[in-house]
Amino acid sequence: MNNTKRYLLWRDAFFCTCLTGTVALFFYLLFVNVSFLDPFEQAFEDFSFNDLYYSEGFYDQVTSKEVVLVNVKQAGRFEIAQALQQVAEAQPSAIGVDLLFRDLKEPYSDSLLREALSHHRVVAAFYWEDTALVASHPYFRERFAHEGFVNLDQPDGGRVIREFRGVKVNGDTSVSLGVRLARLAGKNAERGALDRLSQSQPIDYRIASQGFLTLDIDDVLQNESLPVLKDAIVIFGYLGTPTGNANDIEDKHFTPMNPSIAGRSTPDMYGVEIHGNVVYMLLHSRFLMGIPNGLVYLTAFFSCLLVVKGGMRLYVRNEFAFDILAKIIQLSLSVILVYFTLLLLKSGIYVRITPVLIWVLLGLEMIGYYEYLVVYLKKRFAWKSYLLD
Amino acid sequence: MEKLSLGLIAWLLISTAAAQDSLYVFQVKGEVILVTGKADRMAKKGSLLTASSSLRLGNGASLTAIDQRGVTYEAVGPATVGFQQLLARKGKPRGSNMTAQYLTYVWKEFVGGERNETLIGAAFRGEMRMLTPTDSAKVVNSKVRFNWKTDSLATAYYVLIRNIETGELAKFETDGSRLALYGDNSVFAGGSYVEWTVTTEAFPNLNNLPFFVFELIDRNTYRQLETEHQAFIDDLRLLGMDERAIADALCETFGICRFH
Repeated sequence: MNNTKRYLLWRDAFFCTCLTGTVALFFYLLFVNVSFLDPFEQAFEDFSFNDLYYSEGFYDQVTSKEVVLVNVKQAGRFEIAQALQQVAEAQPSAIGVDLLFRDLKEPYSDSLLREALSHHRVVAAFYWEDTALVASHPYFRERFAHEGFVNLDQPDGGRVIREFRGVKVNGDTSVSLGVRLARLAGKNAERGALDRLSQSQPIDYRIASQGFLTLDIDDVLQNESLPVLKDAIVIFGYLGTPTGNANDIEDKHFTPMNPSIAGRSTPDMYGVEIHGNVVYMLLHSRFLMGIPNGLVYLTAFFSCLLVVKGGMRLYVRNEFAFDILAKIIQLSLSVILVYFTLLLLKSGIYVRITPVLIWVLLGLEMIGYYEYLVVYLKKRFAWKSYLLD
Repeated sequence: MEKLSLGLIAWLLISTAAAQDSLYVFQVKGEVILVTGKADRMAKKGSLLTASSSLRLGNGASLTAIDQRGVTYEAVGPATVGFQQLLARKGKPRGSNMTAQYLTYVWKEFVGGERNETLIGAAFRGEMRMLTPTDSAKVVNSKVRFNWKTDSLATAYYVLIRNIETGELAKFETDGSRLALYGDNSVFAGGSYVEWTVTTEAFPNLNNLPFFVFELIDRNTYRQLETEHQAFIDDLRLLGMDERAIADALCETFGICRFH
């Protein structure tokens, strides 16, 4: 191939890549702005290829006693207070209470609960509703030693809990329940740790529901001593009645661990288990490195450029072979790119591969349309192209 | 020789530090007795296993223990397993070979997957023979008495009792209208939620049977629940009912049961 041909090939590949990007952007804007296509937007909003890593169990599953969950089921305040006292006696490093006590009930049980919640190792929960703080009744709250927010809001507004934010600044700086627990256990207390946690971080799910040591509140109350809780982080919360009941979806959420990565399904993980995963991640400083969107789009552009260049060469040599091979190449590229993403995730690098995949796959499809365009341009402006000359 | 001695000492120190002298029970299914120097008791989640402990696992029972590093050890019944034997039964690490798992996943997607679950768009309704414990009842765990309606044509009834938390299922054949089980029955071990049903078929399809679920509670909880219905109990006393009849009425009306 002479230099002119080579130049034309690169130029055509570049323009075809730009055309692909424009078409992809057009369709994206169409999905976002046209109301009748809204279901498509919603479907894609909650979809990520990275979820495969968790839903298909490609990650190294952990069984841990560092984070112990206590299911309060439908227990009353008296039982919860007793269980908190019993757990505190076992000397855990921190106790999280993923429960809110909005109203007062009976003076006796309320006073016991207030006493139990005021323990110096207990972290109580609250949440932010926009800029308003929602917490337990002031009777309990005035004695809290520590508090942490339990918001699991997602930056893109999706329903799948993929990311968490450890620190929020709503006038005052507040810290999440998970971060507060980890700090009580001596982790993330160093300078600068909170700055990092004020950014959304992907959650590195390691512990599936069955990987937690989960105790029923009855088990706690019936046991005279609980040596297993010494130095552990214990989180009280709701995990179904009975524990793990698949049909009980109170405080249950969608996570990448869900066996269905797209389409309709039931929530898969209790809120307290999500906090447990965050705490485990913080305890082991297993932060995933998120690749910035700019770099993802740059990668998508250059990947598309290379694939389109190869596709154009094949197209010019043998159009019939291109028509057959294009589909096989698209399929192989999808499999390889997703595998590459999962490998990176295993190494602690979180990449949103969808833009790369869409750009690359659409790029091959666009070669035929690009040819129509250059035919028109050649007629009007004597445009030179690798595909025609 | 010096190097060899130093190496030997280092190896001994490392192996002593790495040796496990205690484990904790992580999961229990079925009846598992923890035998210690003091007294035998049911193994529960969080129970401590020391070098002097051993486990007696019933038929179909299993136990998973965990050490400080998160390594699991598994024992399956029927068996008696000592502490050292348990240490030799390490659980399999999960999710190790991602490439093989991914290729298997891709292959399954190519060949159309394997998801052909049966989806049923209906609710089951049939003749329910069960009387007490009623659905969603709370029953004192010392004794549970099952009562059901009889049928003149049936010669035998099969009572199926399943512990929801451990999955243990027990089947009893009887020709009467009631069956009593005491709290030490293995089907009640390791969980507080139990479901039961009664049928005239010896080998029924369990998916086609309606079950009643009840929760096992202790006497203190029962007394607490009783006080919530004190006005009802007082009314029955005024009517001249004795304590046993009042307990039966409480069971049938509010699902709070204590069987004598």
